[in-house]
Amino acid sequence: MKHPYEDLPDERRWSQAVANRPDTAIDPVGGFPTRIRPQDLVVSAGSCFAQRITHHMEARGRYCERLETAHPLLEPEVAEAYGYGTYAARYGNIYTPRQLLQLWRRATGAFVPRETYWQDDGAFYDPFRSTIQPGGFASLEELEADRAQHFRAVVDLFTRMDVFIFTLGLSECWGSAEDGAVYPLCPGVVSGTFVPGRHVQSNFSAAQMTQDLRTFIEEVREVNPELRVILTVSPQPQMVTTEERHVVVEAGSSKARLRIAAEEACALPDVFYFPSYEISTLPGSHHFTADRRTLEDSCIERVMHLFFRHVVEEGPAESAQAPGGDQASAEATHNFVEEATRVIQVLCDEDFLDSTEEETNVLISRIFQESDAAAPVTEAESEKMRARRLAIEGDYAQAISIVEKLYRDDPRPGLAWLLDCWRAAMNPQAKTLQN
Amino acid sequence: MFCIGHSHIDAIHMAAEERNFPVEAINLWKLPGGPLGQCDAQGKSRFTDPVAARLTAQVGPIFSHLGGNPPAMIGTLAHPRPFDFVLPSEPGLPLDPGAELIPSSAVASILRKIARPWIGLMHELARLGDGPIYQVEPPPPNEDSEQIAKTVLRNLFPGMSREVTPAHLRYKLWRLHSELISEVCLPLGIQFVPVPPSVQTPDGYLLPEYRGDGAHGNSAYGSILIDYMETFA
Repeated sequence: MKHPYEDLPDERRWSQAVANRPDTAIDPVGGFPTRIRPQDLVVSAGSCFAQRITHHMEARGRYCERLETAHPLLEPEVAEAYGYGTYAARYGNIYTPRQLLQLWRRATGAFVPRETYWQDDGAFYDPFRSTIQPGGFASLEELEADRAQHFRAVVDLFTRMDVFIFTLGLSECWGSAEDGAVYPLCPGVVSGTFVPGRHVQSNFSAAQMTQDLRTFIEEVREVNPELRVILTVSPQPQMVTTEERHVVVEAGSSKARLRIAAEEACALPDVFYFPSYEISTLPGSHHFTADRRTLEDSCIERVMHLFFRHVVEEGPAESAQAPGGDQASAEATHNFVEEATRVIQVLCDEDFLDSTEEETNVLISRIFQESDAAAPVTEAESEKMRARRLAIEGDYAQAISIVEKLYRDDPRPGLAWLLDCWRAAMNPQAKTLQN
Repeated sequence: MFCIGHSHIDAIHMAAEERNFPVEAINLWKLPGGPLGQCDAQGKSRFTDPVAARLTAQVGPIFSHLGGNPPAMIGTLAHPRPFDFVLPSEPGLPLDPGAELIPSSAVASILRKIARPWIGLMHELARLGDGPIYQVEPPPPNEDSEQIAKTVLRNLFPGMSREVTPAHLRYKLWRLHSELISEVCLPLGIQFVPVPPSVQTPDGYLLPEYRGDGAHGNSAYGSILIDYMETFA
């Protein structure tokens, strides 16, 4: 061997692996040292990029655990506004490793910040999840109850997850001078009040972020020793900096530190780096939109293509919905609302369900006193009332017999509904209305 | 006395008949067009023409008992994913430890959505009515879940495997809904009339002697309401 570069594979040579090649022919991932198996429980956190990974995995039929999902009674746009479904739990964006470590310690009770809420215009805001509750919480009790539910979800998720994908986003953050607590957003931006001296900025070094990552992984592994971690660095530059230099210069410095932190953390066993940052920022590529920070969809697709090719193990796709997941819940809710509506309708006025125009005209004429106020109810109406009384007394057989006759004469949906109910009562093996 | 509304108006109707008290009580459930009247070209709820004509002709106060259903619709049968929330105006009420907590403002959005057709009718009422209009709060919920289950579900809907909600959830939904309707009334010039405290238990539920079928008040409740409304008339 003349020199160490002589026998290097092509992938290590820029001229062979990158130069003059189209983006789609450049693959910096290579043999990734771990695989996400179909049965693995995957949880992601971090900045916006982490959201995309989960969504793409789900779009490809892979199940990603979510514990704090929107209740199916909520409209999709309401659910989105409240931060449901963005991540596995409602922790919102986690931009820095310190914020991640702090979440785990707060969830387990190892750290209790002094500043636990901010109050604006009568509403209460969670300083650590400032964007997940539009308009804030209505009361401190509600904030605390919601936070307790959130912490239970975080502990459960982090204890059970097989693979944790974390995207490092920022090195700058604001926090409390009193106890070192850090916030996802500067106080005063969305909620809270910025107090100089009380709220201070940090711009973490690579060593600090490495240490935070290592500490987080080690602490979680105390309860989840088999955990594998995949780290990525968000390619999106920061929007703003308080450092006294050009935002581009600070963004370059910040990304370098984040990248080093990710690299250094990979010294721990079963911690891996996926190069989405490098794929997205490849020289000569035009992967950003006009604002020069938002990634083009084509770039996201390329990153995901390589992620699935090298990281996600082929296999029978698990259902993207776990039992009791969103789809099942939505179906259950549809049945629920339908059932509840029918029950309430019958409660409010059973007769309404089946009244003919002629019958309702009798009712209206009574009300407006345009005809005989003492007009008798129809025979069918009277029979149905008798059947209902019998059912209430438990004599379903007789009740069914009456309604069956009414139904034969006039097959109205309301009568069929009553028959369904009462027949189910007669036959315990019969399907319930639920199934 | 002139009342218009939905099923809760039946208690007034029954009481008026018992007392031979002159009340004209229009229950929209009983009318052609159904409980929500009819929709115009824009899809907005509006009263049928005869009802609209009657409202326009009304001289004197109108007591509205419109709506009242939304809390019952999501708060009578237990949802497959049981939920609970912290009532903003009474945050110390108990929470079901086995239920999922939903933000109260999100619960309000659910109620608002369900109530939209009834709120549409309230807008129409405000447009058509020429005198004072009062929106009477629906009766407080029945605290006795077992009674609701027996009288409402297990007999009429025996195949239904769902449980009845915990009483405190029914109470919270009723309160939150009332607060929403009260907010709707304000800009419409409709005066929201809370139920008289005399019909409530110390915890705010409907007293047993005023319970009807589990969801509605009885004629004794209607009688109390008649006396109560008279103080406004």
